[in-house]
Formats: sequence, C-alpha cells, structure tokens
Amino acid sequence: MSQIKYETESDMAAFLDPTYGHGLAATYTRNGVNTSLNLILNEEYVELDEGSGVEAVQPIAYCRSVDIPSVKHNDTLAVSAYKDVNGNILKAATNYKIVNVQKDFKGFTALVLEEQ
Amino acid sequence: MALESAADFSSYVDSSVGFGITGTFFEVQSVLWDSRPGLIDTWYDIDSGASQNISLIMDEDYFAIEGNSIAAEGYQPRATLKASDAPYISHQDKLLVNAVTTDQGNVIKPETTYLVVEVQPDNVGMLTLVLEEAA
Repeated sequence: MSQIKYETESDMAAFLDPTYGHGLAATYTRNGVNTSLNLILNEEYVELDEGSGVEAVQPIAYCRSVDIPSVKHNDTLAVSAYKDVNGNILKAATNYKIVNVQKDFKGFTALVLEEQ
Repeated sequence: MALESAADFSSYVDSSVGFGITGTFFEVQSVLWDSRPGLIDTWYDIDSGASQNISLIMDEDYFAIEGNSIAAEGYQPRATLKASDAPYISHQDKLLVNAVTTDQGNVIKPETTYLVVEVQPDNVGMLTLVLEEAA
C-alpha cells in the first residue's frame, strides 16, 4: 500500500474551502442518500454546433475523490448560490445531474454536469 | 555528460516523501519467444520470470473514447520508473501497483495489475510504460 505524501486530505479540503477559497458548498445525492461536500464549479463557455454558434456553458465540478467514492452517472449535485463578498448572488443555487466522471487517481474527481 | 546520479533517479520516484508509489514488476515471460508473433527477445533480453519491488509514478489521464453516438469514458495508465529497475522489460510483462491511499487511509485507487503494452525508454535513465489493466 502506498500513501500519497504530497497532499493530505486536509490540504485537499483547503483547496475547496468555501469560506476563504474558491469552493462552494453542495449536496451530493446518490440512491437517495445526501452527502454534504465542497467543490469548485467551473462553467466555461462552449460553442455548440460550431459554425452556427449556439451559446452554451459546460459546468464541471471538481471534488475530493474521498467525498464521492462511488460516484456514478445520474447522481445529482445541488450546488449553493455563488455570492460575492457582499452577499450579492452571482449565480443562483442550481441542481445538476452528473453525466461524466473523470478521476485523476491522485485525490480529485472532475464531474461533468448537466443543469436540471 | 554526467547529469544525474542513481540517487537522483531514485528521488524522482521516492514513495516516502515524493510523488512515487510502490509496486512489483514481474518478468512474466519465461520463454525465449515473445507472445507477439515474429518477435524474439534478444540475448540480453530473455525474460527471467523474476520479480522486483519498485517505486514508480502513475499517471492515468482521462480520455474520451469516441463512439458512433456518445463517447465512453476511458483512462490511459502510464508508469514512469527508473530504467535500472526494469532492464529487460518487454511487452506483456506485469506490473502490480499497490493501493494508493490518503493520509487518513481512504483508498484513492485500489491495488491494480497492469500489462505492459508499450515501452518508451528516454535512454537517459527513465522509462515510461504504457499499460493496460489486466482482466
């Protein structure tokens, strides 16, 4: 057995910290069981059907793998609202379905999401 | 042109403080012929059937396997190790990679056995192995 030495679980949690960092609080649901976790949500612009230029965004959530050890397609994430430091809502709370799972096997998993 | 020492190479894959993890490398072919048709190991390359505990760095990049409709999720495992740890390596040799855990003991990747499907020596001390998860 090998234990990774470059990061602890606390380090990984710090990367996703919603209080001081870039993280957001969310609720992960699998088979009706809810789990609270933190994640980083990216929503990059993508052009659907290149050429005709349909505007879209591709939400991807980055989570600690230990928080979602059995993650599968169609599990859901309820992500809390994204606010600025004054409490103004920049992005409302949103529910997503997981449509793609990309583990890095080093501690983090990227989840490709579909807005519900 | 001496750039690195054996200790330098070991430090790159160090499993006690660095990015390395541990595994066991098996020379599984105990015969002269490779399992590949028409290929033969050289005199210096005849597999011994021996095994050796080694340190390595594993990378498993995600990639989408394109299909007719939707892409399937795939990973391409690659191991980087010291060339001196596997001097007679050949295709279909076996690599057992120990389970990888966090500091709290949670498993990030369970113990996995791979077959070597491609060998990429850099000829300056390190090897990259393209792997296939064994059934």
